[in-house]
Amino acid sequence: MANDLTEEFAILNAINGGVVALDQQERVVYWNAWMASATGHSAAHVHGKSLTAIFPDLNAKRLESAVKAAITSGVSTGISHVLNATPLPLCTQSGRTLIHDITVSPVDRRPHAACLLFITDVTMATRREQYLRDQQKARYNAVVESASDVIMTIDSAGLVQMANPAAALQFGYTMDELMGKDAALLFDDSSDWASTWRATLDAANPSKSRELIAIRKDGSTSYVEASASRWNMGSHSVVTVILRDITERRAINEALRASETAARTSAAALAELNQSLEKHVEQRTAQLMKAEEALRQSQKMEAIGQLTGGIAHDFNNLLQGITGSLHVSQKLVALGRIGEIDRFLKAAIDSAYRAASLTHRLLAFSRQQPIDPRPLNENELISSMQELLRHTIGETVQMKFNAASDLWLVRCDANQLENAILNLAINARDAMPDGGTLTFETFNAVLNGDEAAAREVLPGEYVCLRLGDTGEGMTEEVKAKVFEPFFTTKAIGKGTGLGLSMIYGFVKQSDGGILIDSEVGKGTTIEICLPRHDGPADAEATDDADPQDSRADRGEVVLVVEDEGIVRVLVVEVLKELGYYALQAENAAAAVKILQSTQRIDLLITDLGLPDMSGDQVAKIGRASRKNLKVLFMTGYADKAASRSFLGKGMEIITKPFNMDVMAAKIREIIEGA
Amino acid sequence: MSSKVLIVDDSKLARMGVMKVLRELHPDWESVEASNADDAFKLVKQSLPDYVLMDYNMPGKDGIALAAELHELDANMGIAVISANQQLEVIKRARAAGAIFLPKPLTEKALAGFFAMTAEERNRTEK
Amino acid sequence: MSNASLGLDDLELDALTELVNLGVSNAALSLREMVREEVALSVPEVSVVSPDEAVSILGRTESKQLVAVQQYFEGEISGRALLIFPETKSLELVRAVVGGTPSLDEIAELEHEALAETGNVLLNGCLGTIANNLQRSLKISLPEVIYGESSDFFSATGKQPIGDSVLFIYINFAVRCGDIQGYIAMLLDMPSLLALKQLIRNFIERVAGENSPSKANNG
Repeated sequence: MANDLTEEFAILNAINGGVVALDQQERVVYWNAWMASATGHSAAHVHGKSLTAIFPDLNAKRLESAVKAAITSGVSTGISHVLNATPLPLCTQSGRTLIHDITVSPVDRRPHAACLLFITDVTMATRREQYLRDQQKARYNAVVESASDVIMTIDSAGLVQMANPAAALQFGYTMDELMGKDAALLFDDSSDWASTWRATLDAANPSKSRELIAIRKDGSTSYVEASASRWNMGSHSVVTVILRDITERRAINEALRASETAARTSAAALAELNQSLEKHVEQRTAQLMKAEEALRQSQKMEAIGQLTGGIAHDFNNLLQGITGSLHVSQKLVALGRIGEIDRFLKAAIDSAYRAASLTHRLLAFSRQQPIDPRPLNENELISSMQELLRHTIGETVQMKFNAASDLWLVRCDANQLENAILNLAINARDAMPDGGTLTFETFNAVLNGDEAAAREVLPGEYVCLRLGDTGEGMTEEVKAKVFEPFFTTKAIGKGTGLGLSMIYGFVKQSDGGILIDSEVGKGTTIEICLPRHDGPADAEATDDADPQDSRADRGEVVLVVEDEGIVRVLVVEVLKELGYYALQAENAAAAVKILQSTQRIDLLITDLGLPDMSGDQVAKIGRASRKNLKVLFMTGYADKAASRSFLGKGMEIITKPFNMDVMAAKIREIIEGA
Repeated sequence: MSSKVLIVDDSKLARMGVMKVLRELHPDWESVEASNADDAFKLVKQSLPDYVLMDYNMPGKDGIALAAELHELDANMGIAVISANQQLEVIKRARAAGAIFLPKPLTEKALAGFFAMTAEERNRTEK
Repeated sequence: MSNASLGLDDLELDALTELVNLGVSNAALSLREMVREEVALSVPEVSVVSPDEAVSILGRTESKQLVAVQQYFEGEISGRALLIFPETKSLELVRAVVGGTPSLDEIAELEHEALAETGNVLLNGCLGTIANNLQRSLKISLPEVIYGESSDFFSATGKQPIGDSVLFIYINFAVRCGDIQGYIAMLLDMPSLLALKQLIRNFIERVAGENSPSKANNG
């Protein structure tokens, strides 16, 4: 037995670690104080015993073989707490398990080989490590363990070194199966994965996220978005990847894209449809607007028409002509120059007739009686008006006439033109209270696009009449409103404001144009252009030259009563074609009004079903004042047409829809019949 | 009674070592050598040895695979796998292949034991 | 694998290989105890090379980053022994040795100690067996884990002796489905190599007995 080395190495009792020396027979020859404290066995107690003898329950194969190897082979062995849990049963001073590391080294003590055990207490360090580890684990768990995204750490060999539960779930492997697995096997395109992982490993910065296809254990695939970053774990460079399952997102996006495309296609189709619809609507709207405009215009005209029956202004003019003449006659009689009054009496009569005809025309106009357009020469007209003009205008205003020598003919209603000129002359006179000059000018003109547009006419050949005064002129605002009905700058009682609007209406009806040029302080010039008439002058009823039998003879007037616009227009068209003058009424009331007037009506064409009264009742009323009024009924009901019970003499019936020729023939038949 | 022994090992020294131990036990017995499993197989068919002693860890076919083949060929043949690789799994595999495992370095005692066991087996099967 | 220029003839090299075989097998046994699974070993390849050659051999491995467990030995032959394998494999080894499914953090923490102990076991198994069979006892130090590139291991840094020769042992051991290819390198100076040569001769005589061929010439 070897010597007890306790005395020899007393200094080792101060060391903070266990020192045990074993001889060649593996028996204790040294045991320091630390060991005594940690094991509860004193040096004296253990001396000469083997470890297995001291600790009967010792289960430390590593320790035993290490001791053997040290003695026989001279090798040193480290037994770490990391891989070996408490090889020796040691306790701390507080009685807790002492976690330790052991080193077993050969001792060079010739001739006897021996072995030294050095035991170090790592309890505190281990506890600290454990604490830190627990902390980390908690932090880790909070994020990684519970994350729904796959989080894996791949080492530089491409093997999975860490995977969270989501990874196992996503890929369908157990955690064991995932550990150490080549990550490339988890993805469909290994080159895609490789480039992602490698790029991250090599680069310093985290890579951009990429879309990859992941393969599960069962072979099914899913789309994932991968983001990877490199970091150093100790001495190792590793890459942590986070995979987000975007299969659903992709599906949704796909569906969205598909529906978007579908929507876009149908939107495009819809847009196209809309466009064509819009175009349609535009066209219709334009048409309607035109019609509306026309209607408004005609309504205006209607308004004018209805009121022009009482245009005091115009009458004033004519009356002035009459009274003027009579005044002069009176004077002459008083002076005993009776022989000279004849001239003035004639003028008075003339004016009276003109007044009558004017009234007639105005009344006719108010009832939408057609005007009597004839070819005429404006110069002739004006010259025939000179006397009247002279009287109307008075002495203070000078009149000048510039008439073109070979003036073209125009075709319009003579009375209306006269009236227009008269009106304009009066206006001019009123604008020159202190006298001035009124110039009449007539000339031929060919209007081009711009000129025609300015006058709102089609380009072509026109006869222009200009009346220019040197009066006070008009401001821009007045000029803009001058053709509006009831617009007047004159004091109440001095003018109804309808004159110019009437002139405007007449000019427009005659397919002509009117232009105003005026400057405040300088004067006003009004120009009326009427289209050139190509036919011979004084040609009576040559306009509608038509050799057909059904054509009108002496300007018969037909009253058409029909609430449905299209039908009414059609009938009117037929009548116009036939050369008749057509009057129109939308309803019974309007028809009755006309029927009860003195308007010449040769034939009444009326729909049986009117909004306010039945057609035959209208006919009755008509016949009340016009005994032999001829009537043509229109009806949509064939049976009604068949039964002619309510038809009186000179009454006929026709069914809608009707043939134009049939209608024409019927009209003829009725008009010519007794 | 002289027997023929085939010694298989890629290491010449190892073969020499086995031969030395064999000579100490049975100096009169014949021995042939092979350095790999394929050569060994050919030799077996040629010279029909009574015993085959082979190393486990050899390039190409390992000793246990050879043992299995030989056992199929002749179940009576005494086959031993001599190896320094004394892991339990290796020993089990050797046994499963019909061979007896002998640790390296080979001792007389171990070899003697092998011959005795094999003889016993033969006696039993023959009966 | 003739390395006559470095002092060992064919038989000596064969003997050395056999010694290494014994050593590595023993180491595998110990490792098996640690990983609780069979450790598959390849046939070790043994060569004796110069330090520069050693650097280039190692440099040929895939990864540049290596990890080594180093132990000094002294006695009749002195030098240092290294168990070297790619850094990327170290985690695998640690995981195999530690067992269970430790988190990556845990492994990283334990890595140093686990490697040290594992390397210790392997080297001890190897060196110890060789020493025993050469009937010499060597004093072998505790392990140290070092990281670096091949040139780092075989260069003279501080107190590490370069040695004139490197005894290179290439082994492939497979642990738990993962292949860990490693090298065991023993760096010896010339006196040590000569001593080793003699020891090997002695070993041959012991093993082969009177059958051992007499040495024709040395060199």
